[in-house]
Amino acid sequence: MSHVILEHQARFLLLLHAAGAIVLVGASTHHFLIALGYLRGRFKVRLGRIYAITVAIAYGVTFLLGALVYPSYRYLVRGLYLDRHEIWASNLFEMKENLAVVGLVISIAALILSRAMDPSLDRHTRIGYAAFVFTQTAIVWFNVVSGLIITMARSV
Amino acid sequence: MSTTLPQDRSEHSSNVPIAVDAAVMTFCWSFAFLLLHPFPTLWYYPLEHRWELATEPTGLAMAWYGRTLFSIAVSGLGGAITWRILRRRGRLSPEIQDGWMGALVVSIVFVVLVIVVTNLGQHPVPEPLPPWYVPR
Repeated sequence: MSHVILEHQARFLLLLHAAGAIVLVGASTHHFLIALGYLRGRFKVRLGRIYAITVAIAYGVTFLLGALVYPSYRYLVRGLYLDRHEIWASNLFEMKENLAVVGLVISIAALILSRAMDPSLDRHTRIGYAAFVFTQTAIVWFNVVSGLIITMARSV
Repeated sequence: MSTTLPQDRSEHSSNVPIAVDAAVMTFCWSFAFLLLHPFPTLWYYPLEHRWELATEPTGLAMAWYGRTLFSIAVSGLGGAITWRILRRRGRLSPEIQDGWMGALVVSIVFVVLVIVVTNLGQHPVPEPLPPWYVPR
């Protein structure tokens, strides 16, 4: 008997979520290096656009898969176990999920900027773009590491 | 390799970054507001498989979906309004762009701090263990 939506698919969805996160962390880190290059006067614009769209798609897919697993986690993992025995993991997860939304919005913003700007001419936009990419990469790394730690404590 | 935008496209999109920044700022403030203040939000009840628009839930409920949808909608609105206001204007002055950039950074730092602070030291109440539950 299933108690929450997609309960029986939760492990498979979590596996796909993790696979998406692997793509995302790789693409984000490469995007970070490209944005760092913009600040140092090296403008690999075409590559920057490719990584921006790769990150946005990988982020959207990973985010959606996480959102589908969330009800199973909320009751079966957090409600029945973590809130009782590993409260720090519950709190870390809430932090991770809220930061993930910030990262999603920022990755979309970076995608739009990557296609609207000319980094060699526009200093302000270049700095804003780099700020978006750095923040989004930091969020992705934080979320991947904290997701692994939480999963070690308890998983779906 | 460096690629430059065509001149007409570059002029047409001169204030796109300002609108994008405005969307991100609106998102940051609306998301932080929802974390800090009780506000009517869409709640999802995972055990009852239903949604409810309420300020406080009755039972096990999740505000994350509603908070996310609301903030992204407000963000889109903020970006669209800014774009509509600025699209026929020339490029904003560097001073205004500097100020805008500062406001953007402050907004992102603020929402991250709100997320961290509101989730540190929480003492959630566990759900009662159902009869079918088998610890593993």
